[in-house]
Amino acid sequence: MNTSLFEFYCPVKIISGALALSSLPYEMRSAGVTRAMVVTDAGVKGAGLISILENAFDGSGCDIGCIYDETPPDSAHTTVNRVAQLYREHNCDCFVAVGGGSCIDTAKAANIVISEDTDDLMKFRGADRLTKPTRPLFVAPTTAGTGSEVTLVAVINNTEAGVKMAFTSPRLCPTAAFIDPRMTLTCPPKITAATGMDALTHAIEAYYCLQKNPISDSLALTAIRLIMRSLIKCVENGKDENARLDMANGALAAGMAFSNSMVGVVHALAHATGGICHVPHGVANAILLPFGMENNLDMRAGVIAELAPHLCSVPAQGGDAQRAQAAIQAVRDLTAKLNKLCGLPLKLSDAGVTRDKLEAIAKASINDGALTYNPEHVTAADALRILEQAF
Amino acid sequence: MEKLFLLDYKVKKKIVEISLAAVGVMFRKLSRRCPEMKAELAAWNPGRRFTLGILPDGPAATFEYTGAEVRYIGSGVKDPDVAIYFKNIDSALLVFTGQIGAHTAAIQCRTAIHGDLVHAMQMVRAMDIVVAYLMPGFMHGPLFKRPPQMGFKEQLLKTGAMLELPVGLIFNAAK
Ligand SMILES: NC(=O)c1ccc[n+]([C@@H]2O[C@H](COP(=O)([O-])OP(=O)(O)OC[C@H]3O[C@@H](n4cnc5c(N)ncnc54)[C@H](O)[C@@H]3O)[C@@H](O)[C@H]2O)c1
Ligand SMILES: [Fe+2]
Repeated sequence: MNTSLFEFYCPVKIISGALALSSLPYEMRSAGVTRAMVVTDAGVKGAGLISILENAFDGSGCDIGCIYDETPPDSAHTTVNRVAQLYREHNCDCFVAVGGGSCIDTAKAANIVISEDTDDLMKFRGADRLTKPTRPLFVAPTTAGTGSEVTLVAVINNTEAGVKMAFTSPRLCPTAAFIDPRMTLTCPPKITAATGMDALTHAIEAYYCLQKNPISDSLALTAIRLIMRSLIKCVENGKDENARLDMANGALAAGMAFSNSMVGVVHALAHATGGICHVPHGVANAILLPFGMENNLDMRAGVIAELAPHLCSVPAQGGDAQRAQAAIQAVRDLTAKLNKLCGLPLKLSDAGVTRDKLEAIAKASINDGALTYNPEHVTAADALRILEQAF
Repeated sequence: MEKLFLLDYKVKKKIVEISLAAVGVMFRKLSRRCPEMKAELAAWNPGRRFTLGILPDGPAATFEYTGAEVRYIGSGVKDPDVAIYFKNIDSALLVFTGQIGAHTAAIQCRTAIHGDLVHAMQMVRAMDIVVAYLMPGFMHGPLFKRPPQMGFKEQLLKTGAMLELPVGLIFNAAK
């Protein structure tokens, strides 16, 4: 019996399924708020998704105070300050994020600025620095990837210092997440593939990393099942509502899993690769995932082997080592298929990374908290070896 | 399974206070003599302060990197840039008695980090070096994911540091 202590926390109400977003005003009133500061980006607005949101407010007694639609990829601290300023100017009383991880995290960070009544977001980076209750935050994800709708994390780019700042606090968890299949139908194939691989990486790393626990395990396996069933379908036919809902629920389950059992070396390397070479988060994860799994085979072959039946048909013969190899091969087969379907890169060199950057990425990655949870000890030299394999 | 401590709180507090003081003595020594520690500290900004402590207001110790060494600047939380806190004294005892390593304490949510996460990772790596020198080799197994290789030079440094430890403890107790 494993008696290791674990904690599990997810206070987010989940409203998932057809027309889920129509329940937003009801949930706002339940939380005692009526005027929304909406955070989105140009791509999401251009895809017509804000009209779905506006429609949900009709006749509801709640209204939209302001819509900010200029969130940049990976967000930026200047954007966060601008959103907070608009929130004040328009007398809003809650945040509504409609978008991928970049919009959700911008809303989370603007919530810090408002709740702490500060103009210096930097002061609150790191863990558990928030001292005051945050404002209600409602989230409608438009990518099926980050799981940010159920996590206590926000990642914001400090564009002046050129670093990604992480904020973690239970107070950053959204109030409610609306998983509405309408919101991901317009997501382009390559972004669908990349964000879907981010979700799969959350589930797989959550399952084999050191903070795994029975609750996060069940969520991770559910996520893997849904993603394996529907990711390819979504990339082949973006309008498949059932497949889109599978992916959105899968990404959410993976988010709940990793928010409580954390991720490992794949994310540590992906964060550093994103920070230094601006490779999209999901693309970096997709490339690095099989190599990260291999890196952990010595310590975790048995656990990785348990993933095989959820990823592929299990070899009839052989032990843990063969089944773990089959699981890794299944991930490689999936990314190869995605590469054929939409051009998802398979190597770092195809994603804009140059060899001279690998050492800096390796050095940055060992300062990423995710490494704490990776089963295998990873030094800068180990990280460089993995990066060279994935180059 | 980790053992439960049913010791009196005062006894537990004393064990933790002595352990923190020992960490302080060893940190200073290694920051001046150990090449591996020096390489780690090369990335630190002079003046960086860090605290190790027990919540809510248990024993704590604050250290500062001067640019040349890591100094123990006294017990208590003294305006640190980054702090690693144990959520309760039993969790701290599990670590200070060598039953679990620092990474296991983090994995089991027994610790809380306040401050910059990059600084915290750098602090944890430096602390791992301190633990390798403070704890006897036969106890290293559960304390590290990959137990450190300690050759003749390292063993020599360790012996010297352990001999100096009692004097250092008395000196730090005066702060
Ligand atoms: N907070 C967390 O828990 C967490 C976890 C992982 C990643 N992240 C962060 O999330 C960010 C990445 O988020 P992401 O991968 O969701 O991408 P994203 O939010 O940056 O969106 C990528 C692009 O897709 C477009 N898009 C999104 N949904 C669309 C839709 N339905 N139709 C048409 N276009 C659409 C956007 O306009 C944007 O151009 C990174 O900054 C990463 O660090 C956060
Ligand atoms: Fe991720």
